[in-house]
Amino acid sequence: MVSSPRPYPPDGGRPVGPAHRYARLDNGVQVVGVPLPNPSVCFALYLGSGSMHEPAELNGITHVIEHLFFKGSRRRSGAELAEVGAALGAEANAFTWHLGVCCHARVLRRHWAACLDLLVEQMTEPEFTEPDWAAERPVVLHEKARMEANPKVVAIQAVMTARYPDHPLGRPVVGTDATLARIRVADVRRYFERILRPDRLTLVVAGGFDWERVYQAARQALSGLSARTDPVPAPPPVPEPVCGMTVQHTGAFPNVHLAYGIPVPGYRDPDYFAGQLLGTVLGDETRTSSRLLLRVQQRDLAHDVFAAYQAFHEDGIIYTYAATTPDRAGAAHRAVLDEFGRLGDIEPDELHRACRKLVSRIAVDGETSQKRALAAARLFTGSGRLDTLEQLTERFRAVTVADLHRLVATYRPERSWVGVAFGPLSTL
Amino acid sequence: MTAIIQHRLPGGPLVVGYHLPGQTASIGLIIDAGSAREPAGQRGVGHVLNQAVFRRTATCDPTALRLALEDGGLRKDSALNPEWARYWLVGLAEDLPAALPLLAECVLAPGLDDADVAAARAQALGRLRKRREQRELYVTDLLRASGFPGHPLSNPTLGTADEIANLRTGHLRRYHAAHYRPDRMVLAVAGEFDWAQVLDLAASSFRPAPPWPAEPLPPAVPAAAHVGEVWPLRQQQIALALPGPRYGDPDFYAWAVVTQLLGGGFTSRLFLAVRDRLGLTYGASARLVAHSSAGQVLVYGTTVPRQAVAFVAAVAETVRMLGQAGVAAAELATAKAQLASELVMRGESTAARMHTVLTSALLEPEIRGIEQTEVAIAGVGPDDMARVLAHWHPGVPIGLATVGPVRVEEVSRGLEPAPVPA
Repeated sequence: MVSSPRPYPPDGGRPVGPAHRYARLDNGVQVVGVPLPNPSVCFALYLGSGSMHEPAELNGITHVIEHLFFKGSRRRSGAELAEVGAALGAEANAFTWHLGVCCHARVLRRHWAACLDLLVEQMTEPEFTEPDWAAERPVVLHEKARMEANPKVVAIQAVMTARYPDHPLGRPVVGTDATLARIRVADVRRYFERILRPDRLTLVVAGGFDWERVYQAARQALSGLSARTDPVPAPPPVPEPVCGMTVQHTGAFPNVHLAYGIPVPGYRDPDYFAGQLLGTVLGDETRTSSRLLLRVQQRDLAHDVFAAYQAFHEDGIIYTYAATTPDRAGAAHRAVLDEFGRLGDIEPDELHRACRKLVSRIAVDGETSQKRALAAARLFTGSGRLDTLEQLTERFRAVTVADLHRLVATYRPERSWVGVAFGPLSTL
Repeated sequence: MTAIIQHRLPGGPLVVGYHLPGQTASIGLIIDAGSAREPAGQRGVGHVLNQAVFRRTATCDPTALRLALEDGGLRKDSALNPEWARYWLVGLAEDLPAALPLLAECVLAPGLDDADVAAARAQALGRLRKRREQRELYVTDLLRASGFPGHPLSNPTLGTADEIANLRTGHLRRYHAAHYRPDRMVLAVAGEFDWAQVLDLAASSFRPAPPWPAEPLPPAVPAAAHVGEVWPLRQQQIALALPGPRYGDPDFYAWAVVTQLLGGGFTSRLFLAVRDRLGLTYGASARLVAHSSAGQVLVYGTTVPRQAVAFVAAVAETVRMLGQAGVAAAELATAKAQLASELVMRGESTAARMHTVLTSALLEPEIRGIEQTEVAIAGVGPDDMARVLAHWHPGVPIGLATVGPVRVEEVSRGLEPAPVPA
């Protein structure tokens, strides 16, 4: 038996916004609808098992699985799947991160049913074959090499490793050369069988759709997955941050790259929204204005600087990144640390402006069904909440300066930061 | 039925509105002043000016300007091209009345004192340093610089460090006065707005100026040069240039379909051949790069150095096959469906709509929005494809730029004609 769609929470569970739709199939698959007046529909099928759930010796296997989703299903070859998607005009892609792997596709409204079928087939009926993995392994290695050519990506990975040493969150999502050389198709099959659990699958649909029809189609497509009752292994506890800077000399990049992480709350913490605001005051990813921009870039200590908040389930991190030259690296480093030390003095007007920026950004980012679906997939699977834009606005507006001060007093960024510098330098 | 409306302010910009109901709006200005307009010895003056806009204005010091943007929750951004500069703000529709005059003031009256110019120069030099690590942009810049020899289109978009270092306040003021003129601008608003209010705000923000039309750029003739820089990288950066259309080319949308078919998605010829079949890259893509008098189809990808020749050979072979064998009806239908679908879906973003009409208003004979482009794509037929693909005949010269451990002379071996079977 499968439950019929109903408002969520049906029985005192987590709150979902009134404008959203929600249903849970009997096998545990969750279906979430975000209605929008758009001409398109975007589906995101999210499996809540990412790189942080991998054993160390198979680091990167979730990302490998993501690639192999596109190489063929039990019913159709990869080329056939791609041709069907192309004929629908689908904009399809996938991503893997620490907490999950997600395939998503956006189509014009009239193609929604075929798009949903395609996505479900691709992700729940993959056919992992030796030739496909042999053909795809070099592509994965090319992707990894391309990422390693991007200093910002390298910097953020380095700071993750420094913040979470010997912990799955510190490992690269794409894996290492050693693990990618070791992974065999048999490993992929075994591992996928282990992680494909309906209770970890969430289908998000955003855009112009008829909820009843989407729900019925999702039920038909996903109810065949057998429910699982075995417990999901819990990841190890997150280590305490060990404050300090590591300097890595490398000639791979002409500039010096500084990256820092400061610990903050994760998705499930009531201070999640305060963490977002703290990151915006410090670094504002859009580079419109921020404390770091004023202090570091506008004083010409670096040619790029920003901070961004990244939440995981229980834990979060605010990344700070700066790119500079060897002669200015020391001054830029000291200025960044100084700004960490000043986070306890945030004023009401700064908080107000950060709130305006975030609310506006969320509205702008939510214009397209694709961005809305992906944001909803991450927020819902991370926190169990799914807020409308109005609810999100209210949540940001409800954060007070006292909340930020309390957050800073709890996490002590001036004492808990970890940092990495690399480039043509040996010391700061 | 189009959602585009337009009005030319006397002595001021062309104002274009593109409705999309919702909570948000994007507002942007495009100016007929890109790096191709920069005087000799002052390459980068447009880039430095770009860094001065949004720093402060004649009436707004840096703090006041920053607070005005932040209080409005406005995201600012800008972009440069050989033929234009553009500036825009994105935010909630309710903040549009404040955003429009602010954008106009930033662009028409940026602070250009010595201190402003020094700060903007430092920022521009920083962006040049950053560009060396933005490798796709770096190698495609290199390709364009070599692709139009002796023509202003070959000017580096960000300028050169030497010439930027020598720029003084007078240079910037003269460049701004000569080119940042209201009558050479297009102002576009997309999203939720009140058209009458937009026109009122525009009329009060742009004082009429006597017309001073720009001299047209001389016609450009693309050349298929091979250029490269040897860097100790783990990946070879490769960009290739094929014949393509200028803006206004009657076959522009047939070219768009051909480009989609060559390198636009998971079923594109390049994706299937170079990534899926040969495993030479994570991605090889193609895109149109059009200017007012010339254009190219640009292919970009990366690979490991030892496979650089094979990568280039695979791209060249894919192009040859496409040029020689043409396109089956089903493949044409799929490419058109993809392109049309992408176009409509991209139009969900107010910023994308704004950019579409800004570029179209500046460089095309008439303003095309999503609806007009959709019709044009639907009209592309087999004869149009054949006519366009005839440009990619066997032996067509292909431009090449590469950055990485392998020298360009070596990489270009991949472009040598395939041996004729005995």
